[in-house]
Amino acid sequence: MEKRFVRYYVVITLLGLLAAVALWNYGSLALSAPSMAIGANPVVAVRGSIYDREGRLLAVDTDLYDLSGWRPSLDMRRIGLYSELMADALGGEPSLYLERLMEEDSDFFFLARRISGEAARTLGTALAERSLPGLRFDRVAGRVYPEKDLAAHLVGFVGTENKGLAGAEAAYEKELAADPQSARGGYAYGNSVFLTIDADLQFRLEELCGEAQSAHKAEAVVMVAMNARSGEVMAYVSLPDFNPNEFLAADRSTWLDRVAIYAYEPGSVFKVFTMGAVMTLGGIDEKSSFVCNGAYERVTNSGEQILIKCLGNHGVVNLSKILEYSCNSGAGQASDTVSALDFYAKLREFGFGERSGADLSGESPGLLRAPALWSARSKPTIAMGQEVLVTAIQMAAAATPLANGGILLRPRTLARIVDSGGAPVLNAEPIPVRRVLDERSAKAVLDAMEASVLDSGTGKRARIEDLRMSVKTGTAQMIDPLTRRYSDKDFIASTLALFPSEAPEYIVYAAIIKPMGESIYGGRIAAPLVRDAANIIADLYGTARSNAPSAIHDGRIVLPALGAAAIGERMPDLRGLPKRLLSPLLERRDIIVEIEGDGWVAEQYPLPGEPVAPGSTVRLILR
Amino acid sequence: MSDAFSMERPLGRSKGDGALLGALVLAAGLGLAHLYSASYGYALALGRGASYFALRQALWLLPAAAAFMVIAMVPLSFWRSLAGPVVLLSIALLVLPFIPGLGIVKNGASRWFGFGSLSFQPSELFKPALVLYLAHILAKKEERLNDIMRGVLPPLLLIGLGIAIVLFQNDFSTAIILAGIALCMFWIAKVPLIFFAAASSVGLPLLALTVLTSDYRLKRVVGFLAPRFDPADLSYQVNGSIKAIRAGGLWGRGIGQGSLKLRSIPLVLSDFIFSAWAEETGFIGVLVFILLWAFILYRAIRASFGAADSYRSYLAFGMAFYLGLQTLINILVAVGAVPATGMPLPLFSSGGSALLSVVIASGFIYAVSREQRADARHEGRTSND
Repeated sequence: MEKRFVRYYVVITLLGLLAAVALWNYGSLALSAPSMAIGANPVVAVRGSIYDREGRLLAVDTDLYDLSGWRPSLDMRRIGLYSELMADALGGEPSLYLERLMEEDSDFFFLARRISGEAARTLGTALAERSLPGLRFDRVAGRVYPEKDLAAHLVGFVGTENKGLAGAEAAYEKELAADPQSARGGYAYGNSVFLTIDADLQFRLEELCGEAQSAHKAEAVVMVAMNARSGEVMAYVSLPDFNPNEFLAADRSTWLDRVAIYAYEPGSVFKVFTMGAVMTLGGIDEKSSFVCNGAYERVTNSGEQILIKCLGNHGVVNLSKILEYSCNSGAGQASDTVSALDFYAKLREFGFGERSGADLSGESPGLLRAPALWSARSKPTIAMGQEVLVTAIQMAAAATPLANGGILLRPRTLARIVDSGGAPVLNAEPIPVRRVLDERSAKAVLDAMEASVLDSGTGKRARIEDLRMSVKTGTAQMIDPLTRRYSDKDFIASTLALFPSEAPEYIVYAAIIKPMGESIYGGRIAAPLVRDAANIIADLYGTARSNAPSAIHDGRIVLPALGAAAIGERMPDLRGLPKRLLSPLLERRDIIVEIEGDGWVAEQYPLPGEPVAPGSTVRLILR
Repeated sequence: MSDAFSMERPLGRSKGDGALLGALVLAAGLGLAHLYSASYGYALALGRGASYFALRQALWLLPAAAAFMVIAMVPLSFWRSLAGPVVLLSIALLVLPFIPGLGIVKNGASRWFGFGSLSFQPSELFKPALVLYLAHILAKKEERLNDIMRGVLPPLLLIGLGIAIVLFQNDFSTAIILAGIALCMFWIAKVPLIFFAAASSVGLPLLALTVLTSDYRLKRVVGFLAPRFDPADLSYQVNGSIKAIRAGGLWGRGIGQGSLKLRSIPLVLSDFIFSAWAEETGFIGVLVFILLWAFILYRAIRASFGAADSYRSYLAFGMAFYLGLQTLINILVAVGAVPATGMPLPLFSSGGSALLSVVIASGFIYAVSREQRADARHEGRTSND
C-alpha cells in the first residue's frame, strides 16, 4: 500500500462499510422468512380465565381494541368516508374523526382507545368492504376482574403484556398464558383455572370481616374458611384489599396477602397444637393434671428462674380446662413433659416453619426455630403461641388433623384446570400430607375445644345454640418493630373454630390485627366474628344443626350454589338470593322488576312456576 | 526514460481502460432494459406506448454518449483550464429554478427549470463540476493547504455557496451528497486534520444522524430543517419498497414479473428503481448489480492511483466517490435503513439530468484511465512501455 494513498483507503473502507450495511439490510429483508412479512397479523393471545369453584368469573381477558392509523397508507381521497364509517361504528361526530385523521403530527396515531370488540368488528368489516387501507386494530392486552376486590389477593393481577404478577394469575402463569405456537386461525388460548373458593361465601365473609375491621378499628382482618375433609380453601379473606382492575392506583400496603404472606405470633390459639402434640408424644393423657397458681414457674438446671404469668389462678387443670381457660401455666407445664426436640419435631409435622404448599404464588414459611437456638424460656413460650411465627393458612391447615383424627391435609386453592374447549387438564384431589396426631389425641383436643364455648370458657362468644363448635381463642402481643419488645397496645386477636364438633366439616380461622376499639381480646372480638362466619357457612351449605330448622332470617331458603338471577317465560324460585345477584334483572326492558328492602329474597310475586308475560311486574321483597 | 520524473514528464497518451468502459456500457444497458421492464405498466396506464419511459431515457443517452466521447477525447489539461468558469456557470445555473416562469416546482421542491416538457435539474450538473473544480484547485494549492485561511477557505466558500443554494431548493439529499463529495475531496488532498475536526463538529453530527439512524426523532429534525423533505407519501413508498424486496427473495419473480412496484411505489422509476430490480431479479440479481458497481469503482480507483498527477488522481477518485456514495445511499433508502431521500440510482433511474451527470463523471474517470503515469501502465498493457 502506497503511503500517499492512505487517505484514499480510509474513504474506500468507509464506502465498503456502507456497502456492507446496505447488503446486510437488503439480505435480511430478502432472505428472511415469509412469516416476518409486514402486514402479517400477529397471533392474538387470549389468556385463560379464572373462576370460582362454581364457575363464577373472577378474571377474564378484555375484548377491547385500540384503533390506530398509519397516515402514509391512508387513502386521502376518501378521507371523508373513513370518518363517516368511524362515526357509525364508534359513535360521535364524523368531524371529530376527520380532524384527527387530518392532523399531521406523526405518521402513526391513535384514533380510539379500548373500543369494544363488537365496534371493532363492525368497523373492520366496513373498512374491508370498501377497501380502505391504513387503519388497524390491536387487541388490548387487558384483564378485567368483574368481581373487583373479591378475593383480590387470591386471584391476583397481571402486569404489562398480561403477565401474572400476583395471586393465581402468577401461580398459574404457565397454564393461563396462551402459547402462540398453539394458535389456530390467529388466536391462541390459555387454560382456565377454577379456584376452590366459593365466590358467594367469599363475598359474605368479606362483608363480615369488613364490618369487624371498622367496628374494632383494626389495621387488618384475615379469615380462612376451609373444608376440613378436603383441605380446600372456601374463602380467603385478607383485608384491607384492593381492586385488581386498578391495582396500581391502590396503596401498596393493601397488596399484602395477609393470609399466606403475613407471619405473626398466634398466641393462645396455638395451645391446641401444643396439647395435641404433647398428648400424641405421650407426655400427658386426658386425665393428666397440673396446678396453676397464677403463673408458670420453673428453675432451670443452671439456676435461672423462669416466670410466665397466667391470666388467672386456675387451680387444678387438665387438658380440657387448659384449653377452656387458656391456661398459660398448664400449657407450659404440659410442654415440660416432652423433650424440646420431640416437641419441635411434632410442631414441624403440623406444618409450622414451612410453606403449606397451597398453590399460591407467594407464601411465607413462618418461623419455628430449631431447639439448638432455643433459650430456657423457649419451650413453654412456644407452647403458649409466642416465639413462633405462623400464617393464617398454616393455622387453618394445622387444624385439619384435629378434624379428621390426626392426618394433616395440604391446604388447596386450586380446584381444577380446563383447556379452552372445556376439557379437563387437571382435577385437584385432597392431599394427605402425614399423620400428625393419633386419633385419641385429636379427638381429645377437639372435645376440649368444645369446652371453651361453655359460659366459663374463653370462646363462649363463639357459641351457636344449635351448632356444636370446637373453638380456641387467642390474644397475642405484637412485637414493636422499634423497641424489639412486646408492645402494650398492638395485639392480634384470633379464633379458630371447627364445626360441627361431632364430625367437623369446616374450619374457620380469623385474626384481627391491631384492633384499636373497645376490646383487644380474641375471646371478645374474634370469637363473635368466627361465630357469624360459621352461621353463614352452616346456612349456605345446609350443615345439620342440632335443633333444626334454623330461623335466623325469615323464609330463607338455602341454595347450594347461587347464580345471578334470571327470569325466563316462567317465574323461577328466587327466594334466598342475595340482592347482589338480582342486579341483572334491573336491566330488563320487557318486564318491570320491583325490589323492596335489603338482604335476601324472602317473598316473590309471581310465585315460582307462574308464567311471566312481557310488560308484567315482578315484585321481590327482601329481608 | 526515467521513472523518477514521471510526474513531470509530458503525458503518455494511451488507450483508456477497456474493461471500465465495457462495464459502464453494460450497466447503462442493464439500466435501460430494466427501466423498460419497470415502466411499461406505468406507461400504459398513462395512455402512452409501453416503451414511453424507456425511449425517453434512450433519447437522453444520445447527448450523454456524445458528452462522454468529448470528455474522453479532449486532454484533461484542457478541462482543467475551464474548471473555474465551469463551476461558476453551474452555480449560476442553480439559481434558475427560482426564476418565475423558468422554475418548476415538483413535490414542494424547486429543483428543476425548463420549458414545456423539457426540464433540467442543475444540481445534478453541479456534482461533476464540483469534483472538477476541487480536483483542480486542491492540486494547484497542494503545497499551501496547511494554511487553511488561504488554501482551503476560498474553495470552501465557493462550493459552500453552491450547496446553500441547493438547500434553498429544498433539496436536502442532494446537498448531503454534495457536502459528502466535497469533504472526500478535501480529505484525499491531505487538508490538515484540524479542518475536519472543525467541519465535523458542525456538519458531521447532522450527516451521521441522517445516514446512520432512521429514528422518527431524526425524521423530525430533518422535517424541521426541510419541511417538505419527507412528503407524506415517502414512508409509504419505503414500505412498498420493502414489500417488493421481500417478494423478490432469493431468485426474484422474473424480469417483467414484478407486480408490487407500480401499485405501491409511485417513484419506482426514479428513487426506488432498486426495489423493482430486487423484486424481479431477487438476491442473485442484486448480487450481480453490486458486483458490477464494485468492478466499476475498482477500475476507477485503479485509474486514480495510477493517474499522472494529483489533479487527475483527485478527479478520478472524486467522480468514483460520487457514483459510489449515491448508489449506496439509494440502496440504503430502498431497504429502509436511512430516511427516505430523493436520490436517483446511477445509470438505472429515469431522468435526463441525472443520467447526464453520471455519464460526465464516468467520462472523466475514463479520461484519467487514459492519462496514466508511465510507471503505472498496468500489466497486460505493458506493450505501451
